[in-house]
Amino acid sequence: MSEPSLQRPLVSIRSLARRFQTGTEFLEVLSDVNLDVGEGTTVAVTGESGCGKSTMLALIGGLDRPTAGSVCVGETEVTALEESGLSKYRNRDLGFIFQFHFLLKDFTALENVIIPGMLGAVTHRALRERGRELLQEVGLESRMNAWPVELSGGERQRVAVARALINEPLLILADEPTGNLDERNAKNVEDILFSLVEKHHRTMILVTHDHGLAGRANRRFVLSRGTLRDE
Amino acid sequence: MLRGKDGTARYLRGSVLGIALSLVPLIVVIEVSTGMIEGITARLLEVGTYHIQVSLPGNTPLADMEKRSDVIAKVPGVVAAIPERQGTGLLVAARGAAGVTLRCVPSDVFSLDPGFRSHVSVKSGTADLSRSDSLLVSTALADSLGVGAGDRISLLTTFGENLSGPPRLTQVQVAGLYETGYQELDKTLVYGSLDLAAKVLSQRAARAMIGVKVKDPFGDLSGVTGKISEAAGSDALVATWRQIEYPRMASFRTTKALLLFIMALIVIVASVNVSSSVLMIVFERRNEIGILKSIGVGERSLSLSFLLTGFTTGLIGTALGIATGLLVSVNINEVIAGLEWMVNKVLEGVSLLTSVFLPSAQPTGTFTVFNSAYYLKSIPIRIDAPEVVTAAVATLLLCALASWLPASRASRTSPLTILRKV
Repeated sequence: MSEPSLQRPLVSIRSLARRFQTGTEFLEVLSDVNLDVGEGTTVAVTGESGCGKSTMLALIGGLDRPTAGSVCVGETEVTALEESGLSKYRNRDLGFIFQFHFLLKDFTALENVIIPGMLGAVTHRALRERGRELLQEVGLESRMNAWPVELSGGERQRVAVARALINEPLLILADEPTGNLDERNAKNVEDILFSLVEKHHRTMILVTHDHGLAGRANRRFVLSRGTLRDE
Repeated sequence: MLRGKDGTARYLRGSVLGIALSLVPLIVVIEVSTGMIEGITARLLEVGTYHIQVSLPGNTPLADMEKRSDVIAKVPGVVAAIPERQGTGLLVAARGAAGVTLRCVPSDVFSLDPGFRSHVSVKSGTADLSRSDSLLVSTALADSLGVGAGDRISLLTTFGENLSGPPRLTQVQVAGLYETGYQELDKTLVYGSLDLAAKVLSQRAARAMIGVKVKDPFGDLSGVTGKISEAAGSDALVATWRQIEYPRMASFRTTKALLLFIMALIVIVASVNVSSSVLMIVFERRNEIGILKSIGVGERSLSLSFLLTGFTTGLIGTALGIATGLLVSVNINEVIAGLEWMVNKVLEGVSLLTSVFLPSAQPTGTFTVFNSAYYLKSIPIRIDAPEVVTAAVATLLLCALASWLPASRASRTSPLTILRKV
């Protein structure tokens, strides 16, 4: 995949730091993370376990608050948002894909896909139509009404990919999206994820241990000792 | 936002049942106490105190009392004005004696006073008081004295102007036996004619009064009281039933409030159960809460969904509880009769068994829920809609309030903690 020419920074991270307190001790996971990500770019971040990859993603996604620094996505300064603003940001501008699928067990595949869209102004009919299209794109058109428990691990993760795209987000954050899958399913999900991101011209920040997966991104970074460096 | 299955439904079913069961006694207490109080009040007003009493000097001649009654009867809003002489006496019969309040009224009181007519039912004999030696005695009193309609008994009254003379013994005839349904009144009141009063009651020992009935005794009586006061003359003292029965009414109100408070405690406990159920759901669903927060569901929406869960639980429980409570209340006399029948059957069985194994054992008594000597013989059914609505609204508010704590806990759940734990 070639790096897109249009490189207006969609994501701008400056001096991002996150320190955790355990008892009387402080653990500095991120000390000075700086990153610009252009629109339509895919970025992979690799690093050892516990180096802070997921923490960085949580800070970008507004699931956690930084100790210092700032995160801007589009026109939004994420680190300055109140809780209600963060909810809107997560719903409107972000699509999350986690290592575990995190589907709601009491909802069908299609319902899981459209849930983030239900908070917006789109009609239910249009939303279901969009959900069907996305499930078709991830190869699950025949499994739309299946419950999560009836789906395989790979299928569940594909539903999670479709859910991340339902609101046409500015940014997709993927945390080890294939980490829980066997090689065949991991490859399948990886192909679907990258093809959809490219097709829908989405921006994605991906953290992974898998160098093969990281290799498919436009830009690759290594997170080490709390800072990012080019691979 | 969250669909209920498995544990969620189980928790909520339990809470719905808790609310419903807690409301049944509350509603029954509201309806039974309201019915009892209104039933007793109606009998007190129509048979006991009248709506308004005009007290006259004891030596007021009967002709003057009748004249003033006629004037008062013409006051707008007055339905009837009954001259009455009231005194105490002792009824002596073969089986025993009983102190009574002798109320001497016009012999045509049943036609003069529609309220008296509707609340006093003659069970045997006649209500004819035209003979000067006729007495109307309650069935309860007649039972205790061992007399029936047509029997002659002795009436002992104080007579003589200085009250120090010997009592007067008069032979009277029990013309009829009556019941008002409220034995507290029936036990002590006997009725005779005004002619009997002239024979057996001294002016010093007897009260002279005019009992007044008005169109709306529960409305504002100040206007009509003023006009009656003017019509009755300057030596008359006018008092409304509220003034006369104030201690009894205050006692009723206090008893009812105390009962309602105790029953409300049960509803509060049931609403705490709603809180626990919603809290359990929050714990059970914390993964889903984390997922929903990560996809942008706001704290307010999450909080609202759990508040609605508690509120809906309360709504269903309240609907069920109020429906069941009203059903029991409407059939309370049958329910009590059935309960008494069942308990008495068990007592009979126990009595039979103990008589076989312990011949010297005393037989068990008869069980009654309400002793009719102190309450009405049957509870009047009256649905007090405002109080039922108040109970329903208060229960719903309690349920919503009880859900607030778990709802706010759900909204404050950090998605990060949950997503990392899985």
